[in-house]
Amino acid sequence: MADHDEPQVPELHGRLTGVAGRIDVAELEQARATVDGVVGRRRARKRVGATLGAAAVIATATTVVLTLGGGGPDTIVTTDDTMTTNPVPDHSLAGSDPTVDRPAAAEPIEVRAGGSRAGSVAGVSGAPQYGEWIVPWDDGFLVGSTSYPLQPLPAELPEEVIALFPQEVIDLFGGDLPDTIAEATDRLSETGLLEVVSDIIQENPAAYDAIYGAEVEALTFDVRYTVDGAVWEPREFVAPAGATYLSSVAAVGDRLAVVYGVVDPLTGMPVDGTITVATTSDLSTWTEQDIVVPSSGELPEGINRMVSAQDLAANDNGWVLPVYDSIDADPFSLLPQDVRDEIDAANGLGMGTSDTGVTVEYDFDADGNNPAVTRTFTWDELGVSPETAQLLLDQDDSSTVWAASWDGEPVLSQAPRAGGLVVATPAGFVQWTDQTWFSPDGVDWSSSPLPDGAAWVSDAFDIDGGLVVMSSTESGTTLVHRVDERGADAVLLDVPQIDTNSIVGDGSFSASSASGAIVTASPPVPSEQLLSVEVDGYRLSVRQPGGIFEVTDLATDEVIVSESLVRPGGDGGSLIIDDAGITVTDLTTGEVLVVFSQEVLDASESEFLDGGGGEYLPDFWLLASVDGERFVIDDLDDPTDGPTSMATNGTVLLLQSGNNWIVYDLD
Amino acid sequence: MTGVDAVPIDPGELAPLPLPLPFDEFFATHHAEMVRALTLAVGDVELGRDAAAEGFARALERWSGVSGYANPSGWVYRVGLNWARSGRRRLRRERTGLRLDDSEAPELTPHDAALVSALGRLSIEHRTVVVGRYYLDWSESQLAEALDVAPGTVKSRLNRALSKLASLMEEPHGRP
Repeated sequence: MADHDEPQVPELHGRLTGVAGRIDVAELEQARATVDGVVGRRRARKRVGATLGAAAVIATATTVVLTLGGGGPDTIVTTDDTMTTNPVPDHSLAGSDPTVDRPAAAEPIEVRAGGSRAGSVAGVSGAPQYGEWIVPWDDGFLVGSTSYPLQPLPAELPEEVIALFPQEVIDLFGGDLPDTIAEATDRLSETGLLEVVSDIIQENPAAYDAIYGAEVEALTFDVRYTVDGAVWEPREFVAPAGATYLSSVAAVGDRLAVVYGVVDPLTGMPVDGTITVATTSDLSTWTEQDIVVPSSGELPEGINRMVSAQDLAANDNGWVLPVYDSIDADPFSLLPQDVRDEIDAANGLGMGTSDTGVTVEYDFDADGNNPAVTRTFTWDELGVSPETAQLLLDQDDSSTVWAASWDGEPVLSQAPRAGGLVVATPAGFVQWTDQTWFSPDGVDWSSSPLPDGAAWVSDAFDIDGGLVVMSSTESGTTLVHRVDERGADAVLLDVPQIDTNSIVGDGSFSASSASGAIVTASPPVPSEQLLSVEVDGYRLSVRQPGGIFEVTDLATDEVIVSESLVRPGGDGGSLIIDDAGITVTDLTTGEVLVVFSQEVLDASESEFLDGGGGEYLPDFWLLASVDGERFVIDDLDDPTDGPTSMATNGTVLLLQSGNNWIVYDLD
Repeated sequence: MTGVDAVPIDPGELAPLPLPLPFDEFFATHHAEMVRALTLAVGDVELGRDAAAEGFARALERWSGVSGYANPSGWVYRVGLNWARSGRRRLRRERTGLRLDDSEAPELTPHDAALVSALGRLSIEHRTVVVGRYYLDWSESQLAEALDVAPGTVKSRLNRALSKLASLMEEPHGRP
């Protein structure tokens, strides 16, 4: 049972369970044999050897030549035309990488490394546990999140419902039910009774209705204010009528703007195609601007329209907002009731949609094969119009961009690409596709080239007089530019701390006044961590990049084999991987030089994994600036989660990363 | 202790220590859910099965210790995840979503496909907590213990994951 203190995704448990239930698991005996095999030999599956090969399959080089004892070199030399499908970041300077196509001249920047000061710990001394949104406000910051009330339990349950549960469950609560379902869930879980109770509730609608029937208090918004990230105070916040979730929040001066759509409290589905942009200066009285997205007409039951919007870009004059309109449908619910009942009573269900309609197969045999029934229902029979059917088939979604001045009516924007990153500046709005686009009012747009060398823009943040724009070249090299308020006059910046293969932001904070972005650098796994074993005077290791296997003669420290396991045309190398492990042969004589047994390889892997290795630990960095010349660059301490909220008020940047609210002085 | 009279305990009144759960019984009970949970978390049917096998294998090797944990399946879950993301495996391109082009992937309705697609767009850290909380039905404290992280970390990841999942499931497919 869900904890209603968390954001809600309707029916998530049931849906996940439904999806999971369709995942085929091997018969128990077969699965156990697999496990025993892994334990017994640590090479139970051929794909273990293939995995080792697969680890090197990222390289597509061919390697030949082993000439031990002859007149040639005692090494195998790799012709290393590697192209990794999943490149391992190389922390060397960009200039040493021949694949880097970064434009040459870059303006140096002034960097202040680190620079954070003590903020606060989430949940302590008034600091919010979690911020869904954060905006600059009143010389400080406003942080808000939706507070979901816990689902209450009724004070007592009908006798006939109580009788459904085993005595040990009844005894657990002793006639005194907890106040909330969450509390009951915890107690049932602790005593191992949760599953039996869940099954009973699922199988007995009367029990479900009785237990979940208590009225839930309305959700509220938890809004807090801080000027320095250390001291917090609650702020009264009265949401606009009908707003239960704010999909985007932005602040411009003393104007706070929020975006929402009214949803059905029972289903979580939008009630219509209206998106509202509401603004306030006192956090309680609102001026609303409605975007009414035209619909294709009444939809049959089981087909829902999903209209949503986020990433509001706003300046002193108005706003731009991408809106998404899609169809969500469960074809099963379109079927006639008697067919649904028949399917529910039968064994298994297969379902598909086509231009014709919905086809179902059900009543499978005990092995899950050979459906006894296959039927097709045309769209017309199901009461679905051709237009709606096409939407269902295409999973096609319309996206539109809307714009308005603060006191005007929202209109459709002529933005070039609905849904692309849009950033507001004092001069207007900037968006990027394969070109840079600018609009003074959000309605009409003009284009200019992307910053020199950029193939696509991944993130941007506002600075005085313009933007800092992060992009990638065709080959994936990271670029950072400073541009003006129209997105033009780009100046390439030299930010040496940014790894050439870093992932530079994803626009997560672009809707707010950020003055910063998060750069993710995945640290490369040192080659010795992948494999490094020594047997009989030889060491086997993997060299990166390229996943090249190397065998080193420990006596001479010479690399005598350097080989990729991917050899177009098949065999020919000196390394053989099979159930025995990795065998190294002298191709000239056929002599086996050394065998790295599977036991040895497994021990190396175990040592690595047992030592905590193999964990994916992305490396998050903050890149922030107010002028595009002096930057704060900081390696964030929480390497796993990354920041979840960030905003600046022009001189101070506040971000939440993990459990900490961290403050940076940018001025 | 002062002021308290010690009460002698009749050894016969002591409840017998529970016998360790046999591995066979543990495996039979949890095998299917672990395969499914790891498949959902790593986003690949084949990889999920392998990760489950590796997790159970390591549990078997250490059963005398693992059997004493409050939630041995939590240990299997974590080890399976770590293995799936280990040095060799992570050199494979990470899949997003269950591999619908895989003959072994389950047949999904469009409704479920939307959920799977949204799940695939979460980070693996977020999928891990969503699966642990909403498929395995672990409490936040159980999940924290299973993943060896602080309860606060679980809570913040869950909040973030669910917010993103909720918004992704309202979005059109293919939004950049």
